[in-house]
Amino acid sequence: MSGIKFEVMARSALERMSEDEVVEYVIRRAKEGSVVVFEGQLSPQVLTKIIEEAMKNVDLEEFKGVDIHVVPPKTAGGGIIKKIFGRKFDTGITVISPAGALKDLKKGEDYISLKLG
Amino acid sequence: MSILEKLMGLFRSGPKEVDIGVYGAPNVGKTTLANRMARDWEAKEFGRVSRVPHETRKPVRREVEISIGSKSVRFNIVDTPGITTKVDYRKFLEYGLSVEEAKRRAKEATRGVVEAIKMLKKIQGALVVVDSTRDPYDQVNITLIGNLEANDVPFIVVANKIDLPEADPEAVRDAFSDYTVVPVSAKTGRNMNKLYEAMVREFAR
Repeated sequence: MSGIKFEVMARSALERMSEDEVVEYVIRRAKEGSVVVFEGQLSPQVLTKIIEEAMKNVDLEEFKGVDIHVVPPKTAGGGIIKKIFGRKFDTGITVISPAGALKDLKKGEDYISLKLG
Repeated sequence: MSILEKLMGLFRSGPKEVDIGVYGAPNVGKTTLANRMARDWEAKEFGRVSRVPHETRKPVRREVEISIGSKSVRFNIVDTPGITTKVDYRKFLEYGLSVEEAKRRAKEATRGVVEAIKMLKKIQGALVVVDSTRDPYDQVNITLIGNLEANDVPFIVVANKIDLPEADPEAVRDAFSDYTVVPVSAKTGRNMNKLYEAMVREFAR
């Protein structure tokens, strides 16, 4: 049994945090080896900041960065960006894990199946 | 350049210079595309192409003047390091690099990603290069495009590597159906004229 810790955050908790707090929280948890699951989606700006901070924090031995997986909400029509970054960020699922922590990940229309590495 | 050409240049339409970032994940063919543009429009090449990921670890800027019909636009093309969410130096060992070289490359690659992200705020347009042999629903592509759209930066999705038998540019079109998608082969030059037309149309309004 793997010792990886999961933290699942409700949308309401996410909404109480500033963008910088979300970024800091995700990076801190990823560096600790935890997987964070958000109800809903993060904005493209927050995701970009997470990538930037992950790169600043990469050390050569312990922390290699993060994996980001998003299941978009079910919407009719439109390309993937409209589905993922539509006006509403309160639907869908976002999973951010330390790079390589998840061995296998399958995405359905409204679910994510995770297998630990 | 002759005096006549210089005088003609004064009457050409379009903005003086437009900063265009060439963005995408590692090894999608960004530098191959930038070099192709340089060769087609008589500019200096951008850099070396390699099968080892993160060959471009610093943004490289070149001026490229593209002429379509009577319209000529001077672009500052910036070939940026590949955007990624993770870097592991051990991956570079698989390509025969020494541990020291691999660690140096990994460190430079992380700095390159940070620089590329910072440049997103300085550009007036972007070419988002997607490898059409891979799944287009890549988180880097999606985050990049979402960011450009949120900042009102015009961009073109370049579905590269259409010379390869496994390429599926239609999958790229389907994924990014709300945007301008141009399938090309930067390696062979196929469809590059379509990309140049789109660049002048989208970036030089």
